[in-house]
Amino acid sequence: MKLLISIVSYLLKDIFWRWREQPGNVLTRFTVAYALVLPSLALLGTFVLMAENLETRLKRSGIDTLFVTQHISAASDDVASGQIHPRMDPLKRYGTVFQLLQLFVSAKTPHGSMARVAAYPDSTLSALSGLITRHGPILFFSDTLPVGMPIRTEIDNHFFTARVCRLDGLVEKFFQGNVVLVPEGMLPRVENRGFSRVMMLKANHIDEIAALQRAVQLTAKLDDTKVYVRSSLKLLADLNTLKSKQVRWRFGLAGASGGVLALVLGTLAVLEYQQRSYVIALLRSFGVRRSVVYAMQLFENALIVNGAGIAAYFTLTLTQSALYRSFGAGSIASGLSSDQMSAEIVMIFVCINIGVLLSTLPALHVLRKDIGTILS
Amino acid sequence: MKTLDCSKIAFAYSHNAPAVFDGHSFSFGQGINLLKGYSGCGKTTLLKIFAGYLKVQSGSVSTPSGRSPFSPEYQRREMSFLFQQFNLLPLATVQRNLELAGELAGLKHSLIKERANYWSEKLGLAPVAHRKAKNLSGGQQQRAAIARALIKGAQVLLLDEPTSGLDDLNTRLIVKALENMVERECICLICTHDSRLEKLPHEITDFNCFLPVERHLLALA
Repeated sequence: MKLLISIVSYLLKDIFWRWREQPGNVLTRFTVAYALVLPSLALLGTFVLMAENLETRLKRSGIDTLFVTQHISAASDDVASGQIHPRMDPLKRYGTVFQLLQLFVSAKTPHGSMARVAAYPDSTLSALSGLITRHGPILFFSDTLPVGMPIRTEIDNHFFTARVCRLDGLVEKFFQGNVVLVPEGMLPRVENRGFSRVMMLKANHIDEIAALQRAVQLTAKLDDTKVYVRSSLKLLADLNTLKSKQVRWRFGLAGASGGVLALVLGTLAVLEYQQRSYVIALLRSFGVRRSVVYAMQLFENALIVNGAGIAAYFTLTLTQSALYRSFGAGSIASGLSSDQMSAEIVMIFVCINIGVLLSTLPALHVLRKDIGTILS
Repeated sequence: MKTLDCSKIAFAYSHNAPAVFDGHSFSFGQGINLLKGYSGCGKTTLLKIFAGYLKVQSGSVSTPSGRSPFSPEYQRREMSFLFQQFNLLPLATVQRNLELAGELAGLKHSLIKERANYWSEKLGLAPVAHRKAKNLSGGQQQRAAIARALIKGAQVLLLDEPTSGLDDLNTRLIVKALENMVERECICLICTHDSRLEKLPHEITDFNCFLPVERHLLALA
């Protein structure tokens, strides 16, 4: 054991010593591995970011949520019906239904800012009861104004005092920016001009969302009305496509990196065959075991290639953080972490190490030959 | 008395090549054994077989310790080989070449230093001890290779043409060094054409007596 440690220690010293003597050799291998791993990681990282982005959008819009917008004109019988479209009512069985009436009018504030106006029917009172209890029946949703602040608003030449609150929960899914929410029937003249009924159907189960969408479209078709359906199904399909592409690219790129690496390192090994076979045979002539010599060959290549891989990973993360800093801190997400890219990293490193293993085949051939046929 | 033997060995470099040995047996005792014969008659091949660098197709080879000649222990500690082409590590210094042999033989660091200095002095290598092997002259390389073979103090010493191309002065140095080894009762096999080595107390094995030269010349062709 002591002798083995001594031999391994000598061979390790020998590796570093050879690197110092012939830096071009080690640099070539390092550069090849680095140049292969960096773009592969960057490309796979882009896929991860794209998938993350889609997932964020999905979460924001609600993956199990369907938005149905129906424009009700002034001439329609349905104007100010006050309740959910009766034909859509049976859909309640498949999930929660929440609706708002978006009015064709704007609200003005004393600060000169504008806000959209929506009316909530009685059917949605239960969902808004918390806010109404705290702030009163007229709510002013704003991202910037202090919560609870009373604000005088003008809607269609009528003046109201609303209380500021934050967009959250269900309302957040409907609107962005400033919105004034009033009880249905408070602005009869405006409501009689027509409005957009926006219904949100939240499926009990994610698998039901497609069926729910088909049901809504069928109902609208039977009623001969036009509805605009917005759902996450397209995004979900995009995400699935992206994820399947991601898996293919992950395998493809990692496999290609490993293959090219095996080819390049193998070619270098073949080019160095004479020299390497001489050194290997010489070490064996001193009584160093074949397995130890082979293990050291493998270790040397693995050290260079994995070192290059790690350097490529850090280059990517450093470049990325520099880019994000240049965009301005906090403006966007903090970029990729090793957790997010763990599958890609593992796959690339596994493949490049298989490449390393393949590149040592010439060394294996040398090890099979008798020392006496190599050394004269 | 310990001996280095091979019995009824058969060896050919490839399946198609004529056999170099075909059922031959040799036995060498302690002291210096000179192997003489024409070029290509199989002297170096025999040395490599005893070193475990070539595998015989049939027959057996036994070493003084009883270990197989392919055993790493035998190659590391018990046997030293001087190649005709020296085979020094070209990018390593002379000192490093000597230390390597000692380290792999499992010698203590202090002993390696002591022996490396001793043989460097004895063979006139001290001034070039820190020069790389590839930058040495042929004679210096040859002496460095001999020093590397001797540093282990191995029980079996296999030297392939140790003085070919050396001048008289260098040859005298080698002869003296080998005389020391004889005192240490090692088994020393020397392949040589050099009549200057006949001054050593020795046994001579003449390969020409029993090996058809043409066959081996063909084998190497």
